Amino acid sequence: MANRYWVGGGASTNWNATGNTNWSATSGGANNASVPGSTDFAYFDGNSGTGTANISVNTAVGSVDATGYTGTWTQANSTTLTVGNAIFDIYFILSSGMTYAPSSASQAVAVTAGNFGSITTAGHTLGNLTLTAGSAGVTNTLQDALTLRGDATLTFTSGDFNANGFSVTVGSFSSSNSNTRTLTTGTATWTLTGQNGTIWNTGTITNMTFASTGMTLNFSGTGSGGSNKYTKTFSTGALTFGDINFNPNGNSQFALNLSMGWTAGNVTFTGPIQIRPTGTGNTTVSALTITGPYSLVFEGNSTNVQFLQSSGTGSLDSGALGNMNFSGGATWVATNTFNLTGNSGITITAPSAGAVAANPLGGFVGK
Amino acid sequence: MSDDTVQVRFSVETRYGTYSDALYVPAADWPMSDEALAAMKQARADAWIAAITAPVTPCEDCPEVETPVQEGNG
Repeated sequence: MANRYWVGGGASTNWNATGNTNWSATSGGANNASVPGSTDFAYFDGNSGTGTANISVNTAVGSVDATGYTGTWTQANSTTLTVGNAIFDIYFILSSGMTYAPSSASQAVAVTAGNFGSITTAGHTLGNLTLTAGSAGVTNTLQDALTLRGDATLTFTSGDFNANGFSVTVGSFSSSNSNTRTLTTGTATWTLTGQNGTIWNTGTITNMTFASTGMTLNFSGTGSGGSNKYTKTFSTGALTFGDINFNPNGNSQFALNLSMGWTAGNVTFTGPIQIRPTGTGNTTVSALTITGPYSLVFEGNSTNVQFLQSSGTGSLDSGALGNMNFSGGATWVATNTFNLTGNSGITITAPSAGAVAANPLGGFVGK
Repeated sequence: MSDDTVQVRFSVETRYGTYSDALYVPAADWPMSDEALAAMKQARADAWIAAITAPVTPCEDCPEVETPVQEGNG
């Protein structure tokens, strides 16, 4: 293990430049020390200058600390900066004074902790990020909020990931495997900004501990609506979530392929949204509120596709409802809603005749 | 994070939810004025709002949502 400090002056601005390297054995020292490798610590600091450091190929270092750095990182497409080692505590620390703005999700980072991982992104927006820890009890811990590009994915592979109560904003999140792993969010807002595809994927939750009932999960449309229509998928096994808001501000319109069979606190859907349950299962919520225009239609016929709410009123307004079941003790009411048949456990009030002409659903929802 | 920095955890309530983050201030710059800290916190929150409200980039590969025929009638 060696410490290497970026000082520039190499044959090129690439991290891996040789001939003359950009690295020194001491802060602000002479360059041409060896390029840091997968067991070495790379430092960028106040003596690293304001020039560019370019990640031109897949690069692995044991740890990166850019505290006090004011230069610029650039990164080639389809490259990954892998940070981690199996022996020492590892750090991935960016500084607020540096510039690092991946222009593609493929400008990726992977943090692989064998002992302990600490991640500080200092307000920078990253591309794809993969978090891996060598075993249960080995934790990658956020030290501040985490934001990825809207087209980038946070992949949590194994070990423990502790978001430490900080906000997490990613295009999509994926942790669907059988590795032993624990996700801890604390009380924080997670915002999923991806516009299309499987935005949340915990389809396989074997050996997963999900300590995240304090989180608020927002599926945020990254647009202002208009004519763009996308399909998003919420795929999960039987996890227990905190509150979930699908399209919380109604600032986008999308179809939502929705897994059933999970548990959550307050769940809201804000139109325009087309909700398409996939598969069967009972989804238990503290309170369900759907504000249209919406459609909620199961393309099948099963009594095992239902929402359960134990008390209060489950409220659906301004939409269309088909082949859905509601129970659990709450009062279920769907107002201004077309009954597309096959529903049970809910009182459905159709829109008035006058409202039909002004129906905001247009051709977007319904059956 | 280095011992030469001071962590300032904060949360900002916005219409998009609670934003929770931390600033790391060089110890040499500590203490900072309340105004300077507030500005730094707000800048982070503003950047977050910009990230989650950014206009949709045209998605040529994205499939269009089906447009089912509506049969209901009030």
